[in-house]
This record gives sequence, structure tokens and C-alpha cells, in this order.
Amino acid sequence: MPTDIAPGFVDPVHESQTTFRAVLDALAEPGTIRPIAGVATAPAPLAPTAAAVVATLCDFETTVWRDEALATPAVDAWVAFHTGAPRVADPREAGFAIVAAGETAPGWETFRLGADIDPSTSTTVVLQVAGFGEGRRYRLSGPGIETTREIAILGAPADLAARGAENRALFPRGIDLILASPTAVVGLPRTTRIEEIA
Amino acid sequence: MNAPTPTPATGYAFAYLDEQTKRMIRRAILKAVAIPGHQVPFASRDMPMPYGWGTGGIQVTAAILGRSDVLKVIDQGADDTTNAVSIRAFFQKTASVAVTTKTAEATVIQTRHRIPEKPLTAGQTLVFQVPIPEPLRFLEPRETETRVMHALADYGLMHVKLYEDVAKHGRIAKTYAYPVEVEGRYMMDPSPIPKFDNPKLHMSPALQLFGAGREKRIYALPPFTAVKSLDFEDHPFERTKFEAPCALCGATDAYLDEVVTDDRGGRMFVCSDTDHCEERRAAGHRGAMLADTAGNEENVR
Repeated sequence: MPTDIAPGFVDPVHESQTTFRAVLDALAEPGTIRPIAGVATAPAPLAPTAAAVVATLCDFETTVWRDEALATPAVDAWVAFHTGAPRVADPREAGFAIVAAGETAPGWETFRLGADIDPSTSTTVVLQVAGFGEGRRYRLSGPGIETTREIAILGAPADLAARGAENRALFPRGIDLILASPTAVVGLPRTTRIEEIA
Repeated sequence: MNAPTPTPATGYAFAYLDEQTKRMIRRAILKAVAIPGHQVPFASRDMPMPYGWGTGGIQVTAAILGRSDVLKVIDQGADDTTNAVSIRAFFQKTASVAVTTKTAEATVIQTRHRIPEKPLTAGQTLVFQVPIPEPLRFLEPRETETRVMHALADYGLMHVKLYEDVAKHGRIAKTYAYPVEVEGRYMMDPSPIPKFDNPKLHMSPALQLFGAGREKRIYALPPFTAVKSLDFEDHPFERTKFEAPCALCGATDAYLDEVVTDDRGGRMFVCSDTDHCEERRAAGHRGAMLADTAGNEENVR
């Protein structure tokens, strides 16, 4: 384990509060872009925004899984030191999952999907993307959206709409997605219908 | 507000709760938002007030509150009753947060059993204090069974109860904590708000969070979520109507409290939402009991 672990939040109480409210607003109003400051010192390839989400929500009570691209000693040490969260090798045991990029994201069904009797135990997936406002365009609908809302995502999985349909069919089970660009977060909870605009 | 601002307390965590507790509550809130109407268990903490005084709502508020928030707290619509005053002072002391009595100015509104009359707007969060989160509790006392009923969306028992109401009383007799169906899936207890407020739950632009401290449950309605009050085709849901307008502001579209004024049967009906009533009076509206001071005869009804 490296001994030179990079710093986390400078002001943990208030930075985690503002990050949480951005994530809450993102999931409550899917498709809205919520800027967050992020943790600038987070070790690459962990994005500063994804790092802030993890530092805000994870602790010794949550299990964390990260994909191969994030499996560096620096990232593992940073997450372990700043959250104390136990790391799991099996995504089915993950309370939170951090995925480095959309192109290499594992299928949502490989994560914990929750049970009908307690659907809240499913994995929250923090997926790093390249940006919002460019890339593939999607039309979203569902709770949190008055009619429909459009969003463009650069670096989402190519089959995001199909994954969303499969995930939504499981309702009330299913994963919840927090997309983290270099500057902002967008929420795609299990309730959101995702349609790709050709 | 005329009350002096409480001095911020030193030696406490921001908004009273420690960071680990906030994270735990925040995780529950996020899952509640992702599964509208589903009751998410959380590790409710002891608060410096007894269960039944809003410990669920206060924990939710503490977990979301930030330095730039403006907090409003109401108890049955009133900003100036014990529960509301105490909770407002609590967050002034522990979070130095700005407070208001005006609905339009608030970013976070903690409420006991009312939804403000003024329509809420995007960006506002309404935090409900919930005594019994389980709508099926008085029909099926076992938590193990009610959880299975929610898992299977097996809500026949409630429909039978409402039907029995119709058979016995000729109408659905429930007037508060009137059960709703969220997005066609979960049955939810909207907390003991009067059924008058139920239509305000539907497609609200505001985020609505529900906290039950003793029962250790958090649930939520994201903005623009479909919320339907349960009813039958031939006995549709009906909003409570009042025979007289508010005695102070003359409002005919607000929820009214009955106030006994003497021991000879005297009574008056006044707005339960004190901010709404004050705002109307400031705008020149006068009810029957203020008519003589108004000098504005056209508003007297």
C-alpha cells in the first residue's frame, strides 16, 4: 500500500454536503446536469467528481467494487483511506461500484439488483463519462421529469438505452446510475426511461 | 419573525448529526428517490427530543441542510407553534441556517401534517414528519407481512377497507393520512396531512422527502411524480370542502382550522397555513371577523 496517499476533501462537512445535494438533485431530476467541485487531488484514473461522490457516500458500512481500469494501488489506497469502505471482488456484493468508462462498463446485471422485498439494497453505479452536452443524445422520461428531457452524453455505453430498458423491466429492483463527467454529475435512477435519439 | 435569533451552539457537528450518520441517511434518501413510494429502512438515531416530535423529519433535514439553505418549519401549517419554533431554533443553533416563515423564500420546508397553500416551486424540498409510514399497518400489524404485500403489490386489503367505508358510511371516511398510489406501483402513506392536501402531492415541482424516526423509515416522491389518491370509479376521491371562508383573510380555497372562541358554542374557521393567511391579509383581503377594520368592503363576504 502506498504511503503517499493524496488528500481528500479540504472541508469534508460542507464539501460532502454540497456534493450530496448535487447527487440528490441529479437523481431526483434525471438528466439535469449538476456541476460539482470534485476532489482535485484524486489519483487518476479516478475522476475528481467520481472521487467526491465516493467520499460523500461511502464508509465502513458500504462495500465498494471498482473495475479493472481503476484497480491501481493509488486509487485503492485513496478510497480505502478516505472512506474506510471494504472493497469487494464480486460486483454482486457491491453497495457502490465505480466504473472508469462507458465503453468498458460491465452489464448492469452483473451488479446487485436488490430483492422485491428490499429493492434498496441494489448497487449504485458511479460511471465516469467524458462529458455532457455532446456525444449520443437521449430522450428521458419518468419520475422527476415533467414530460421528457433530452441529454447528450459523451462516453456512455453504446447500448445505454437497451441496458436502461432491461434495468427498468426489473422494477422495483435494478441498479441506479450516477454519471460523473470531469465537472458534473447526472443521475439515471432505475425509474428513468431512456430512448436514444437517432 | 419577532423572536430573537438563537445563539449558535458551539461544540456540535454542523446540523447536529455526525458525518457517518449523515452519510447513512443520505444513502437512504438517494435510494428512496430512486424507488418512489418505497419505504427504505435507516438506522434512526436518538435525537434531543422524544419520538413523535418529528425525529424522522429532523434527521432528514439535518442530512440535507447546507449553509446556503433557507429553512421554514411548520406544524399543522403554523410557523409559530411549539414544534415548529423548537425545530427552527434547533437548526439555527446547530447549523446557523437562515430561517423564514415565507413559503416562497424557503429552500427546505420541514412540515408536520400540512403542505403549504402556496404552490411549491422547482428547487424546493419539503420534508414531512411521519408517525406511521406503513399505510397497511392498521390492517396488517406484522411488518414481515406488509413488506411482502409491498413486494407483491398486493393491496387488496386496503381496497376492502375503503369498500367497507363505502358500505358503512356511504363514502370513503378517511380524512387524513389518506393512502395514495405512487407511479402505479407502491401504496404510500402521505403522513397525516389532511386529504385536502393530497392533490398537491401529484406532479409537484418540489422534491418531497418523508422521515419516520421511531419507525426508522425514509421514503420520497421526486418532483413530477404521479400520485393518485385511492378511490373507486363510482366513489371518486373528493377534496374536503369548507362551508365558510377564512374568518381572517376570506380565503375560500385554503384548508381551515376550527377555533372555539367561547363556551357558548361560538367558533370561527381560520386558515391553518399562517403564512398564507398573513400574506392575504397584507394584500388587503379581509374575512368576516376582520371586516370592520378593513375599510375594504369589496372583500367582505
